[in-house]
Amino acid sequence: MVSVVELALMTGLSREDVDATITKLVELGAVTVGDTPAEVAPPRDPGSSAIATEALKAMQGPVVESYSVPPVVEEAPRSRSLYDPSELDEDVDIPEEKRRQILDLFYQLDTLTHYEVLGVERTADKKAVKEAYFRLAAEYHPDRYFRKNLGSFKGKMEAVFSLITIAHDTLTKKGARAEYDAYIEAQQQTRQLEAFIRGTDAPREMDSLRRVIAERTPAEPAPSPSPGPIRLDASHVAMPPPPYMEHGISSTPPTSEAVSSQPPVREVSSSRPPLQDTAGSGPPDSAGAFGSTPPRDAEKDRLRREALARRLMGPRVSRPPSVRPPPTRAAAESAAADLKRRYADKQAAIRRAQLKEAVKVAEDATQREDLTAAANAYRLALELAPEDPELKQQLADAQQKSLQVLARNYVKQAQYEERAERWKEAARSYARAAEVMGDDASVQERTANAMVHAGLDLHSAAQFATRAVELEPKKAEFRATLALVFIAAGLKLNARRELEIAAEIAPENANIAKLLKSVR
Amino acid sequence: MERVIGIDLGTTNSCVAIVENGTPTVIPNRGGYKTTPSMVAITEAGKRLVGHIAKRQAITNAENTVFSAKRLIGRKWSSPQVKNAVLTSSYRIVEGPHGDVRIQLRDKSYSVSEISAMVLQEMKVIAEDYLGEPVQKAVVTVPAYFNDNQRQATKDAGQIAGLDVIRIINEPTAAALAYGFGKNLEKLISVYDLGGGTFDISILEIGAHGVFKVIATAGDTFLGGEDFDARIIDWLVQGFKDEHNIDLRQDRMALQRLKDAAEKAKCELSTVKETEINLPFIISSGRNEALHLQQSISRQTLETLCEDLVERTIEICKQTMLDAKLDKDEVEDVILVGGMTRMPKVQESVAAFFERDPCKGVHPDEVVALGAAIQGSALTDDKQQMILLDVTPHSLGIMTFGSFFEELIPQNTTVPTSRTKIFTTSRDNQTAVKILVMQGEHERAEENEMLGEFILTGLRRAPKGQVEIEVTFEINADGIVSVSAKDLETGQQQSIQVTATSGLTKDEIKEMIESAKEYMVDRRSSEDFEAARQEAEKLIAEIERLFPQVEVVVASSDFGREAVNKARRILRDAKQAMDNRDATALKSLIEALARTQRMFKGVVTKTQ
Repeated sequence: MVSVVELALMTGLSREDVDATITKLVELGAVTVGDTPAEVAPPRDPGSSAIATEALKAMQGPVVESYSVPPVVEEAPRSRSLYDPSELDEDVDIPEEKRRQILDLFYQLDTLTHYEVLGVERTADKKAVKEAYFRLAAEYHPDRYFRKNLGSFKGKMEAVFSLITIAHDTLTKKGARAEYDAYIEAQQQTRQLEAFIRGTDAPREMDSLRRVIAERTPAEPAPSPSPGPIRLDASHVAMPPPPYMEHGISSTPPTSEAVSSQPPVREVSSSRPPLQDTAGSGPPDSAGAFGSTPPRDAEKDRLRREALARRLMGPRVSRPPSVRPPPTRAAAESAAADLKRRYADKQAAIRRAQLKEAVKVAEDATQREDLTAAANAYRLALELAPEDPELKQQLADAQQKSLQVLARNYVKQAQYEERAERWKEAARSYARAAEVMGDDASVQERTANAMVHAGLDLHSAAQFATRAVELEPKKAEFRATLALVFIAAGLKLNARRELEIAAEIAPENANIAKLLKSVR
Repeated sequence: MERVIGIDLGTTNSCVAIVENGTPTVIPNRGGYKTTPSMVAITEAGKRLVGHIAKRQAITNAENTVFSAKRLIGRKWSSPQVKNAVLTSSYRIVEGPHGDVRIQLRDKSYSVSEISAMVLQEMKVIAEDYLGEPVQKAVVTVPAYFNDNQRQATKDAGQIAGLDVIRIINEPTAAALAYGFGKNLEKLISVYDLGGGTFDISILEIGAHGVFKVIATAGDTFLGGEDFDARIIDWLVQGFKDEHNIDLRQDRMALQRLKDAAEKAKCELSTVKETEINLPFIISSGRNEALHLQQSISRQTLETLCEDLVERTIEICKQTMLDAKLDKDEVEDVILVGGMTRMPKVQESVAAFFERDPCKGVHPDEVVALGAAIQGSALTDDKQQMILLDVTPHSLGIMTFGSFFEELIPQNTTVPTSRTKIFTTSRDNQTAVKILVMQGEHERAEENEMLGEFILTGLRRAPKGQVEIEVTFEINADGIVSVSAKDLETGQQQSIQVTATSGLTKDEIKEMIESAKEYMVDRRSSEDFEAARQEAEKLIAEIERLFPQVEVVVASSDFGREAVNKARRILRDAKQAMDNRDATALKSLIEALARTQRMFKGVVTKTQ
């Protein structure tokens, strides 16, 4: 009902802040993802949109059908521990070890990927997926304890079973699996792009970039035993790499020698909590292996991975995260001081070299179509040469392009969600894409369609559909979608008008004819 | 551990099996047959007949002999299939009090579930006689394409028969269980099941760890052997009409004889190329002269008559493979189930479609009951590591505004499963919302099968569209659909179990259970009496044979006369007990009769 832009106008906050706030609220469970952020918005002026008010008044019948959510029976508590340990004590005819396994799995169903839920690697072939599925199905199907007292565990087993079945069905069908892979990839990417556009991840990434640039352009030969390859500090590598680093830096993979050389910059990042280490000790298929995870999720991820490892490896006390011995404080301090002094000395001399390097990194990244990396590099370059108009233009271009990429990714994601009939999610993804792709009629139309299916925000749906019709007035299907919105909102007359025009454009379209019949 | 029997309740024949010491076995009936006709009759004397004896008297008692009750079970009076059956069946089908179907036999009308219960009861008795102990629990099979109302009606039938139906499973799935049992296979198979009344196709994957996963299933609950018979009957009737200008359908007895002859000819044509249908005195002409029906029929003719029926099954197979997104070469074995798959044309068509010869290793009439028994044992015996993952054959959804059907759980979804959707209110200050739960594939709600309706109450008063209700549909492993609704704002939650209706009320079922129990008591006691009577008659005959000789021998002694008088009294009492059909009295006299007979024998032997 209220778009992010409207919210920003109303609250006087910046777009980014509104976005960040909503994200935060979503994480906290205060508002529902993709739902109308009405909870954070002050009541809307009723006069501002006649259609929406009409729509709400005229809603009829239990018509509004919505998204399919992963079949979880109860909401997983978002506490540190996955569940209340007393749940284990329920008096049921299931051995304790099994009870533990069921709870461990049940309470992370909504966070696991299909691969994780089956406990297979991303590369696992059909046979391996099936083997895993059949093993788990035999364990978690409630018939295993037929007519035994299962208490609340019955529903949980059914939920687990239901999800492993979906995972199996998806991963064993070639097309479905490719789509799913693309989906999680796209999700991953959009998450990174979002982070970049919101600027939340930028400082960290800019820091890394700064270090790299700084190292690539030493004023004097680096005090390194191997001058050739670019050196990276170990923690930097262990940290989930942001996308541009995969290409930009690991093109010359760090040798163990380079790692052990301990450049002074090490200190900067060694202050991070040791949670990255678990990424290495977890199963290879876990999230850490295929993309960065925002730090705020790291703790949850660790719990999840540990639980998964427990499940996969049987009962075992989870390994405490191995803590790398920190560099001695004195050494670090002196190294930092040394670095500062050197920076101060050489700053003027290396500025130009850095700028050159930054532009080069940016151009390389642009060529690779790694737009976030390019934008970051341009930003860095702009820090060095704030007034350069060409750089400004480049940065704007990169940002614009990354928005486009983001939008395209959202469309991809939305199409998958649409096929899976996860309308609420599809509506959200489409809406994100539609914000950027304002001139793409079909994206507008799909957005409206998904919103109707999700049964949410008919006002926005009407706007999107109207926009689609404005862009391509000769497209009967778009008018049909607009009519659908009207029907959902109970505005039969409007629907009829649209459908009559649509029927004129496409008299052969059975769907339109049928809809028209239903409103007459 | 309690025994669980598996019952294949077929349209034309039923079969019962059990897993004994890890081996599934079919239990033969008293006549030694492994299958029992699913026929029920009431004689003029009001006696109930089930199975072979019902079939044997069908011609002379056509109006009061029920066959193919399965084609009617769980259907509504208004359904086209029932309309059709009313026109063609030899027994009287009438409308029940709840728009359900009843069958009028003599002066009483029976629900279809009751008729099926009589067959199930017979199967229960067969198992009990064989095992020598009472049986309570059973797994009963139904066609995979049965909807929930038909399943519920079958469950009710089990309940009426005094059985705890622990699970209803699909016939092709049962066949697959029997096929894969104890073989440690990992295979993708297809089960083609063409029975007496229904057709099913199921595609299953047999995986590691004893898991049987149904991938897709489809069928037609009104396509089976009887339709093939009907084609032959039509052909015969038409031929007779052309020749004599007489419609044989007007005569129920003639029609029943035609039916029997057609079925027989159809079966014979599976092995021979040509056969003779010979029905003397089938009807009398207007001039009171007897007419005979004599007609030879070739396999070729039968195949032409039934070509489209076979084609229909193949079409369904094709669609199922498409739905399952499978190529023919992925199917590693094809199992044929049901008597109709003995027909060479059916075998050829299936082989041609799947491009492989069907498996010969399973018995088409017995495999389903065996599978049911296996499932029964898998569920109750912890040692059996076997899990069956079945699917919902029909989509499940609700009726939405404008009488559209909104699918919630699509067909071929593996159960247990659950789906969640959001609904809103349609009126201001609406505190309750009515939800109609339906099953089927049509987008118009009224074309689908209505499973039940319920009303969610206690909603917050608010303008229309503002109350969001999250509704979760769930099918558990027992196939029971439950719906829970949550007011998203208040978190208030309600849940409802949607039970399909068989068309019978709880009270009616209870009554039927009672009367079935009474019948069983009567039947058991009459069986007891029969057994006692037979024994008593044998002894009495022997005693009476020896009587004159004994009288001569003992005439001289008082003691002897006394004994003879006593023997006379015993004989008189025994005969009276037999006349009174008093099983208890008769049983208590058998010992005395036996003693008398021994004594008489002793006396006679001594004097010789």
